[in-house]
This record gives sequence, C-alpha cells and structure tokens, in this order.
Amino acid sequence: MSDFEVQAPTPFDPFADANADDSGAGTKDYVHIRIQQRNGRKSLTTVQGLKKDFSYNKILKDLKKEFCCNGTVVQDPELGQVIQLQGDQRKNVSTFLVQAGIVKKESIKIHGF
Amino acid sequence: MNSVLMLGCFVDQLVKEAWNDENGFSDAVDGVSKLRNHFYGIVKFLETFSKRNIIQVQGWAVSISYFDSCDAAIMADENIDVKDEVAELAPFDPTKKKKKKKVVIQENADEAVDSLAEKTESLSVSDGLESSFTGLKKKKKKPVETSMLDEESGDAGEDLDDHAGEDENGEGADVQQQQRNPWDGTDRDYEYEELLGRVFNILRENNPELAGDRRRTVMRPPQVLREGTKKTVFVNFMDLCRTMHRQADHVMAFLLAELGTSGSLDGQQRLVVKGRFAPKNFEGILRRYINEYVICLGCKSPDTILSKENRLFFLRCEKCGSGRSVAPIKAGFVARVGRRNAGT
Repeated sequence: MSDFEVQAPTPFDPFADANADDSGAGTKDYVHIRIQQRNGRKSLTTVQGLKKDFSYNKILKDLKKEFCCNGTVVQDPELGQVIQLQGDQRKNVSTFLVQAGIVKKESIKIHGF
Repeated sequence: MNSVLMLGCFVDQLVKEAWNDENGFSDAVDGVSKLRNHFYGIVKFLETFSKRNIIQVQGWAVSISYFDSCDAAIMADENIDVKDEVAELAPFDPTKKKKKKKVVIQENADEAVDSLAEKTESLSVSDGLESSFTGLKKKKKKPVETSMLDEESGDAGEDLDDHAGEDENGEGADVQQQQRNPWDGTDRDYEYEELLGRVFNILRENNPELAGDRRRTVMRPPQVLREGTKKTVFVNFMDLCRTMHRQADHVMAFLLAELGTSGSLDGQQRLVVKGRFAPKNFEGILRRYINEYVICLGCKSPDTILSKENRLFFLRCEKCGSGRSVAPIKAGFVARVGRRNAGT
C-alpha cells in the first residue's frame, strides 16, 4: 500500500512557477536588460526585474568590479529597484547573471539594437 | 614556335595511330591525356586555337578536325584531373556547385572557349614557355616554393578561379545528360531525393501555384537618415509597416521601447527618433518585432492579423487559423539622460 503511494506521481502543479515567481514586477518575471544611448557614443545599461530577495547592492558591487565600470541602483516608483551600469554591458551582464546562477538564461531578455 | 611545330608532329602521329587503330578513339584520348602531362600548356594552346580555327596548317588539318570532333571527350577527361587538384586546393561545396551549374548549362559552349583561352593566357603569361613544359602539377607547386607570399596567393586565386570556371563547363556536360532523370540508362534504385525532386518538378510544371513555392515577403532594408546630429529619420517606416500589415503606432511603440528613446512621426509619415542609430539597429529590432508580433508560430506565415480583445493583444493567422496572445509592449525603465533640472 505504501509502495503504491510512493510510486504515484506527484500531481503537477500548474501554478508552481507563478507562485514562486510572483514577487517579480513583470508578467512573466523576465529580467530585462536594456541599453540606452547617451551623448556621443556613451551608453547606459539597465537591469530590471531581478528578484527582490537578492541584495541589489551586492550584485551591483560585483558587476562593477567585474566589468570595471561604475553604476548605481536606481529606485523607480513603478518598477522598483533597477541596476544601472555605465557603458554597453548587455552581453556581460547576461553572462554574469547566468553564471552566478541568479537567473536562468531563458528568463533574460536583452533589449535594444 | 618550334615546340608548337614539334607538338604538331606529335599530334599528327597520334591521330594517325588513332585512325589506324580499331578502337583508336579511346586510345587517342589516352594518348592526348598522356601527352598533356608533358606538354600541358602547349596542348592548351593548340586546343584553343584549333577551336577557334585560327591555326590552319596543312599538316594539321587532320589533327584539328580530330580535336573538334572529340572535344567533349577530352574536356570531360581533363576535367576529372582538374577537379582532383581543385579538391586538393580548397574544399569545394559540391551542392553549391551543382546549383550553379543548372543555370550555366546554356552558355556552355561559349564559355568553354573563353575559359580555355583565359587559362592559356594565364599559363603562358605567368611562367614562360619552359615551365609550361613541366606538367600542371609542378607548375602549381612552383610558385609556392619560389615566389613571395602575396604573389603566390594572387596566382593561386587566379588559378582557382580558372579551374572553377572550367570545372563548371565540364560538369555542365554531364548535367546536360542527366538533367531529366538521373537514373536514366542505369539499373540502380531511385533515391528518395531524386524522386522528391521529380515530384516537385512535375507539380511545378503542371500547376505552379500548388508547388508550395512559398512566396517570401521581402522586406526592404530600412532607410535611415540623420537629422542633425542627434536625431535619426527612418524614411521607409510606413512602407515596412504596410508590408507587415501592422498599425504604425504599434510598430512605433515597439521600436521606441526597444531603442529606449522617444520619437514621433513627422509630416511625411517618417519616423523621427532621438539618438543616433544605424540601419542595422533598426533591422535587428524589426526582425525581433516580426518574430514576436507578425510571424505565426504554427505555420511561419507572416499573413496574420493583430487584434485587441478586451485589453489583450491576439494574433490570428490567416493561413492556418491558429491564434495566440502576444505580450503587450511595455517601455520598461528609462533612465534619465541629460542635464538635470536645477531643483531636483
């Protein structure tokens, strides 16, 4: 009897993801990495939608150290905290976040050109 | 000229042998290919001239006519050799070549002469007479050993081109024979690919609209101008929207959100965007737009309609009738760029 119960597959919970990821700002909890042009050939990279459990300041510190650039955490009234880095760091950021295991590769969205 | 004369004698003798022999034809061809190993360059010369009927020496009358008659055989024979060498030199994509060939077939004869002439020239020009006495292979290697790097590369490239051109001609003849059915005249089994090709050919002949020759909607590349230094004008924005069958404001919203800037349509329905962007940037974003908001996931057709039903965007395919919901466009975070106001 007990064996049978063990063998029975755990019921699939279709809302498991949704519940787990509910803390995110977006509908599907993507991490958006955007680029923004500044004057000349300068640009900014913004990272939006990281999970709230992470300490943004610590992530930022590592990012800054890794890419040798400056950056801040910006408090946005609608979107919460957003990491903002100097220069075009989209590729760098996405690889860093994936390698550090902070986000999965599927849930990163790189915007811009 | 001496060598040419000598060769003339040689060929003459050869041809006589051929006439005398019962199965002389193939022998003669063999002989010619042997001979070619020794007198490659000159044979080229001869062939070219005999083709054009420039040389009309009496003693050669036979040989010239002979050349004319068995040109094809020689060509084919020699092309096998050449092909091997080409394969050594550079990895050739056979499939690519095949495709090219089918187009070329008609101009075969003309081109043969041309390429041959070209080849003779390159041979005689690059290393005088004596080196053309030594076989082709040696000639090939020679520049590699002796000459400078850059010169060699140029030479090699030239040679390659010649060979490629010639190669096409040679195989063109083959293709001509087996253009219709590759299995004609043989006893082998049909291969799937061939049969598939046959079916499509028949289909295309009889009713072309059924052949699934998927008409591709071609998007013109975005034309982009610079307005001043800080603004970019997307000239054919409206055209592109029309080819995609999308509302301009939807496309515009997406573009601006992705670019992270602001912009608007001007009087001539061009999109003016703040910031400096290359056409390639727009292309990439449009590609993403098409993937997300235009292409039907089921059948990959761009023939879709985007509609809004109670605050949600839905994509409905005209071809296969499938539908899906698409994400609304959100601008996301836009950092403040530029001078700050004094107060804040």
